[in-house]
Amino acid sequence: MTTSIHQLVVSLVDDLFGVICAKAIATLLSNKRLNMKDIIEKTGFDRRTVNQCLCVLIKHRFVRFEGSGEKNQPVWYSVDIPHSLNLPFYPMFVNIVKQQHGDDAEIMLEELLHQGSTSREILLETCMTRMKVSVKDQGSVDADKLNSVFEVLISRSYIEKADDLLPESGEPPPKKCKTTGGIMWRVNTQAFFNFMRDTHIVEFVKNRFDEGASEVVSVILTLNTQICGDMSQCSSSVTYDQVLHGLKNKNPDLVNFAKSYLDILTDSDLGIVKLIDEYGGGSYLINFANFYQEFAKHHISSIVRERFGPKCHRIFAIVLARNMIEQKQVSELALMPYKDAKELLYTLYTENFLEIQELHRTPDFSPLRTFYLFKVPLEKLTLKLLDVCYKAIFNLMEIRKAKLDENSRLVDKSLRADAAVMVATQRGISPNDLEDMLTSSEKQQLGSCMRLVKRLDLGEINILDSITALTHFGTSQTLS
Amino acid sequence: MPPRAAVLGGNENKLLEVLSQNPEGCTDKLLQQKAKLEKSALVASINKLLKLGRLEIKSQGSILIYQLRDVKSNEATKGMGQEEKIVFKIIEEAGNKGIWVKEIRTRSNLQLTQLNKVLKSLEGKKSIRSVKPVNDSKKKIYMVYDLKPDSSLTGGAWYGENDFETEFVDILGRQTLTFLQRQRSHAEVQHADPASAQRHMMCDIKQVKHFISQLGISKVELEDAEVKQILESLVFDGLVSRIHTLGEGGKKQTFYGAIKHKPLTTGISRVPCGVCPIISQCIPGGLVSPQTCTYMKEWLNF
Repeated sequence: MTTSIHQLVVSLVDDLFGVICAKAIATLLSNKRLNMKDIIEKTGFDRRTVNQCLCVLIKHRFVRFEGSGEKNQPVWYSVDIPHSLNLPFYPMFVNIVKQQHGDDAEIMLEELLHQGSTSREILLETCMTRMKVSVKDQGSVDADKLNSVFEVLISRSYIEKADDLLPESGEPPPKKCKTTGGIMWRVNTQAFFNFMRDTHIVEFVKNRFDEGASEVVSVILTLNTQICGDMSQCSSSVTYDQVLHGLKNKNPDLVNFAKSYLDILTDSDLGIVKLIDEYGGGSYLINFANFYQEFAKHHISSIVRERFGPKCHRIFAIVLARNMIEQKQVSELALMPYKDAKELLYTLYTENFLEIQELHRTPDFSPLRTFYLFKVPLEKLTLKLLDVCYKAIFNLMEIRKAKLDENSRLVDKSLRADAAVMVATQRGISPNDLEDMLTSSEKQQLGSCMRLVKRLDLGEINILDSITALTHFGTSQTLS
Repeated sequence: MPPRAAVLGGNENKLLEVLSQNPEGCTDKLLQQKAKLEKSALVASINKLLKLGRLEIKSQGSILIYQLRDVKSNEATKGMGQEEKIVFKIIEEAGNKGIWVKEIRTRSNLQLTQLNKVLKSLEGKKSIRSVKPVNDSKKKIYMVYDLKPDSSLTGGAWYGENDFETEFVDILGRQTLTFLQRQRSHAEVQHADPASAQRHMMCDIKQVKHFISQLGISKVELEDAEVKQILESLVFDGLVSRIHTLGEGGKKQTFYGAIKHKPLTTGISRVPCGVCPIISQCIPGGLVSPQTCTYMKEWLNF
């Protein structure tokens, strides 16, 4: 675990839960795992405070626990880093659910993310309370509708049961975790990542080929019957007839060209769509591992192009394509002056985007009789760039905090003004009758601050795209 | 009075005939068998021909073979001293790729000063010349005077007077891309079926070469390999895709076509931190920090 990840997790917890939880998680991050006694000793907090912190962090899956199951044996706590790093993705999850199932589903998912994990009854109650506040006519919130939204989210696997919440033995569960009905529910992040993966595949194919090809791939992904959470490297196979049927419902104009598109996709060197057998028109599947690799290469190439320029990008692409290649061969393929090619090649090597593999021709390891081959260390580079991504998110968060702190008086004033308008509207008073609490220069300053914050948020979303690409590639390499 | 031309006897002529029929060379036994000569006669003839420089001895492992010597090369080395002949032979064997001074020294076992003298003398006689390769202008490569240097030394069509013609290469690349993009748009308009459109938009090297020659930008006719270099550079830039197929007689054919959309900037490369050269030194409150970063300020104020 790197310093960047450590800093980011502490910052996220500080933002969400405050300084005390941040200190607790910082202590856990500094040690592989700790028991209750050690946490109390190292943080300096009392038992009750530590209990409350751990309860909150466990509910939100920032911390996990393991007990030996024997009496008087301590329970060990450690930070669940992969789940902690999902926090910046929460707004994207909410947006996905809002686009697919509307505002009610958005509110439900937000509440569930706020609470970490909760029972069905409490979740529905909180959602109804929240919706009643925002709806003028009290009592028009439909409980049955909320129930059906809940069922839909379960059927889409966006919500799952939290079976692992209680330890088998050891410490009793913290009081705040009410287990009404015995079933706790939480957000299933893997389902959202699968959805984002599918969206990325469709977008990638659209940019590389055209919209028709992306529609065909979208149909194959819709027909994917894999269980969410299954880490298989390929989707389930679909027959040509199933693809035709899917296209008829989605885009009938493309039905005549389905075979052509499938042929183009399977013949392409990307290897994303595979033909697995010829019976009945053919069976096709999506190879996720190949997609992750191409997607990661696409992101890394973009970074090289933006950072070092298009000529360096060409050198990088040559080494990436040929895998092990000599300096002389690179300069021949690069179609640029030999000295420039050499300089750019060694720039990439100095910045650790390339590695050298020595191949000795003689047993004396003489440099004159050694081949020096350049290659792209894709796995190491992925980890390095992931680290940069987490550091970048942390930096953007720090700048956002600094900007909001700078304008905290204005932000508070603006919030008070909004609250006053809301109360006035509820009482039937027109907002135009209220005195303006902000002057024009204050409004301008606030507008400029909000514009910066919006830009930082957009930057964060862009970084999350790269994190998705690189993490998926890293995971697929681990599994293969 | 001019020297008398050497008179070749019947045995020598027999030997020469046998050797001309076996250009790869003959062993002792094979010569004796084919020329049908006694051993003593064979030895005498071989010695005579060696003196006249009509044949040469080479070793293949532990076996000695006799090979007919080219009359032209004989003429080329006429009037040369023994050392000059050895050096000239080494340079001749290197062909149009040439040979470096250090390697000549290793193979000839001559001292540096002696070798330099020999090379100067050969250059003066216009038997050899020196060429500076584009890859390494400090090195001097020697080759036979009349030979055309290999493209790896001169750089081929991309080098003019030892300088890489970047502008010429860039223009060719842009024009080739425009041609392929035009082919793509025509194919998409004329063919609704995507497979048919793809077949018509993909071009092979000959089509691209024909287009470039029609442009009239290049002073010299480009080789197939040089046109392929241009297309491959576009593939590596992510602007063109490549397909391999089996053509007539099972021969591998390569086709190139423009990709619909240019590669976009993605993800973290849109944020200053993603392309920052000193990100590893960045810490809050440090000399390089996110709050004081000039790249970040420019990006936020853009």
